Amino acid sequence: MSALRQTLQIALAGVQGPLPQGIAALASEWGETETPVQALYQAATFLTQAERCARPLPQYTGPMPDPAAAETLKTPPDALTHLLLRHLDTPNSFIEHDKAACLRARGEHLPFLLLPGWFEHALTRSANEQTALLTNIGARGAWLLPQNPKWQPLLGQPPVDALWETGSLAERYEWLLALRYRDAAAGRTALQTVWVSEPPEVREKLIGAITVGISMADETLLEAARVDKRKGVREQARALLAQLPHGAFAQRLRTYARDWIVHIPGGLLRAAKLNLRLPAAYERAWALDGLPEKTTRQHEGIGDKANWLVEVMSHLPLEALLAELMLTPAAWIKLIADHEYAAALWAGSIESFERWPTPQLLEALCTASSPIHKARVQRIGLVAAATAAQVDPWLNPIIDTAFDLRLWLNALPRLDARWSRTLLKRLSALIDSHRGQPGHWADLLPRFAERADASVLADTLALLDPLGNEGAASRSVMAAMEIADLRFKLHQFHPPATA
Amino acid sequence: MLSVNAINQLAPDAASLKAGREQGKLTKWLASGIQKDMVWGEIQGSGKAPYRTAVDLRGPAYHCSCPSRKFPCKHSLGLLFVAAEAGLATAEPPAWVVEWNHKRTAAQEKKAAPEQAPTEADSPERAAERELAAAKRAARRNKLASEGLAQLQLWLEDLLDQGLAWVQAQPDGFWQDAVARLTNTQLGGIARMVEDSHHAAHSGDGWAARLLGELSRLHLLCRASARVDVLDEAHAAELRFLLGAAVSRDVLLARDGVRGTWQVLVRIFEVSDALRTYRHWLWCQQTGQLAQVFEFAAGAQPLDTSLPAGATFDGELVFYPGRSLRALIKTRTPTAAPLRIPNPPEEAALQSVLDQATALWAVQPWLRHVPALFKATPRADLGGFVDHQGRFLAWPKTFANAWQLLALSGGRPLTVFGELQASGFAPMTAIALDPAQRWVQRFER
Repeated sequence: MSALRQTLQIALAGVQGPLPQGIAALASEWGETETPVQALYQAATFLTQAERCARPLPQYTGPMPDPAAAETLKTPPDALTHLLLRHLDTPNSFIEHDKAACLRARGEHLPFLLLPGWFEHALTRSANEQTALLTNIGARGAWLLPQNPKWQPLLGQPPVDALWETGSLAERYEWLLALRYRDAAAGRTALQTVWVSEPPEVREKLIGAITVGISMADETLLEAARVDKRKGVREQARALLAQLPHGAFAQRLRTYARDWIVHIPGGLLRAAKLNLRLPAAYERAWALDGLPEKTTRQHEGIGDKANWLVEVMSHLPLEALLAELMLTPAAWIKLIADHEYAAALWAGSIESFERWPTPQLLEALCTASSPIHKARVQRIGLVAAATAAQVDPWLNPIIDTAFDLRLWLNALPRLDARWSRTLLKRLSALIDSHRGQPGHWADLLPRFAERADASVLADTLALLDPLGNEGAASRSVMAAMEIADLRFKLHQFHPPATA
Repeated sequence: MLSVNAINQLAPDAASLKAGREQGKLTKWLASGIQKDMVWGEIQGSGKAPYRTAVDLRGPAYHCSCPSRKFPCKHSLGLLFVAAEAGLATAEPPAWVVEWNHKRTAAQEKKAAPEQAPTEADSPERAAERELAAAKRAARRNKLASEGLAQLQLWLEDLLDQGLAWVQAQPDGFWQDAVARLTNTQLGGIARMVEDSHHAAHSGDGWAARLLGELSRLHLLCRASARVDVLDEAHAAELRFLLGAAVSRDVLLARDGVRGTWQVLVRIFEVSDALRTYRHWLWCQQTGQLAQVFEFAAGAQPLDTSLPAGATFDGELVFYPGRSLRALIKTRTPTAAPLRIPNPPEEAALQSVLDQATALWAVQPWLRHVPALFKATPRADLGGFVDHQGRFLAWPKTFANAWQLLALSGGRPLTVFGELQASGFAPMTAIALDPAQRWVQRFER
């Protein structure tokens, strides 16, 4: 207490100028304070008031930077500006793409208030996308952009180190992502420097940035991450290592596959055969390569040993595996169709194909899929990876017969703008006929809202109208409708060439 | 016709806005129409009969037969969106719209009518009884408030006796008890000051000085209120108002107010327990006078959303006693007056604005926030505003919209409105014209 009193007394003694008159008037009525605590309060009151009331503002003597130049691009009309300002705080790559395309076509600049959020969003995009996003920022945007050190990568400059050193986790991730886009080796070095000292949850987030510009040079870092203490880090590292076909990880998996899968070519008197020599017991070392001892939920219904096979195959390009076995895709499909381990071989093939799709494999897998267990699920997985030109001729005849809402919904996360409008329209109409399952709409709509073009959106919105007052509109449906609505309206301002 | 932006502002919450947008499609409306300022429509809901929705754009005032407790409901918002975006056909209003409009008009006329001749209920005996009851209530309230303040002073002195470090270590319940005691003694306004102290205790670096500042202001209030009878009338009125002394609405409305075209600069939503509040800062286009208008709603009661930021009306505002600029809307007529940029005079430089705030705080140290309207250039590199005199005013370190402000300004002076608080200046809105000088862009907190 005495120290505090002393502090206050010292501080009070240093107060310059007259004390606020009003307080003095109130205080004059107090008379002598009765207790030390009251005296302290009195002193604190004077001090606080003096600090708040007798403070001149600091004088800035530095130069004032040049203001922004006059706009050369046109200003968008009010109605479009209103649309562009929607979702300002929740950037969505599909919406931003549409907004940018719309403005480019109209030769108009972004509304000023949109610029900061726009730059933040651009930081997380690839260099090509950044160029497209920055086309219509106008004179105001060109003036604003260099002022924030965080946006420097958008100007082709290295990101500012302070963000990496003191920023939040999200800022650091964005920093690393930006650096990887610009200079993958520098990004790797930055991450390697701090790798050991970062807590596990930070490592788990940052390792994801290696996806950008991944190469064999990243293998050492990824191999270290493969044996990390944190499961999330290990899983991401394995997925990334699998993208390096000449890396040690891929080599080990190839060795497993070579040992376990043996192709015995057929001859005049015997048919070709696929022999599986699965190990008798689980080896602890496999855990580090991501092979779980027991079947995971993802592969429910498949035995433990078969699951090892699926895991190995799913991390190898099927095309490379077949080349080693000297098999064509069609021959491979024929061999696994009636195999004792058909389900496992099929699952491994599909998961591998989804990572490394090729038209030849697609054709073989699609044409031979019907007798296989869980064929429909698998076909949908294939369809998602295929282009419209590949899929349309094959899918159109079977879309009605092979329809199962739940299964189609599994494929929808991979819906892509490559899909033809005809196909999407058919699918949306078909799904609409199953509208008694509102939970499915919540899954479905965001995909449609983000991916489909204006024509499909218009149909989808029309289909969904009757849902409006039925209470089935969950939050995600509402959010999707919002996105769909916005995208549709943007297209009305400038219909894209493809529509 | 309201703009889409204005409709967005009318929504009571984000969920209603989203739902309202969903209803804002012409195809959803079974019937709809517009005549002058009245729009109406019928929409199929979950019930058998369609909901009937009507909006009088002059208020705006809403009517909907749906059971929603939101106000305005999603159907009202949807109808407004349809009117603003798709457009409605002019038609004769149906009977139910006419009936609703008549009822409203009658209610308004009744409210505005001069007092009728004394009835039995207003007999001299009854009036005397009422006066006596009012006096009793006032005495009871006075007693409660005195007890509450005495308890508060003891509590405050006990706090400092224990030391600030001890105070900071207290659990939330410690503060909540103090707040509850004050609320029970009908000192809700003071309870909020205790909540401010609680926040100051956990406000990071420099918390001790801030906490001591808050506590000392509370202590000053206790000491000053004990001497309210010997203070000059201005101070006494200020204190009484602060302590919650009722100011009769009728007495206020009988006074002359400030007439003009009022523009809502900003609307701030606050929640305290079950009480939701809209605090509006209004600016008079003719006189430049600022005013603070409150709207309260308890529990499920709807909150009046008719004054979104950017709304304008012709009207008369009557000010409450004291220096808080709190006012009551005495008359209000919708106007087509366009939104204007408050253009503070040259002398409204940053130092003058701060000096005015200082003058207010000097005589009323308990004012939580003082309005500040000025013209200055935002500088992200400095973290604040620089005016034409070179004076610098910082914005809070946690201010998240600095880059938006900068984007809006383009490196030129900008009209900014915000509140000076004990913790510093909080920017709330900034207004600028677009390059074509035809569209007012507005940043809001």
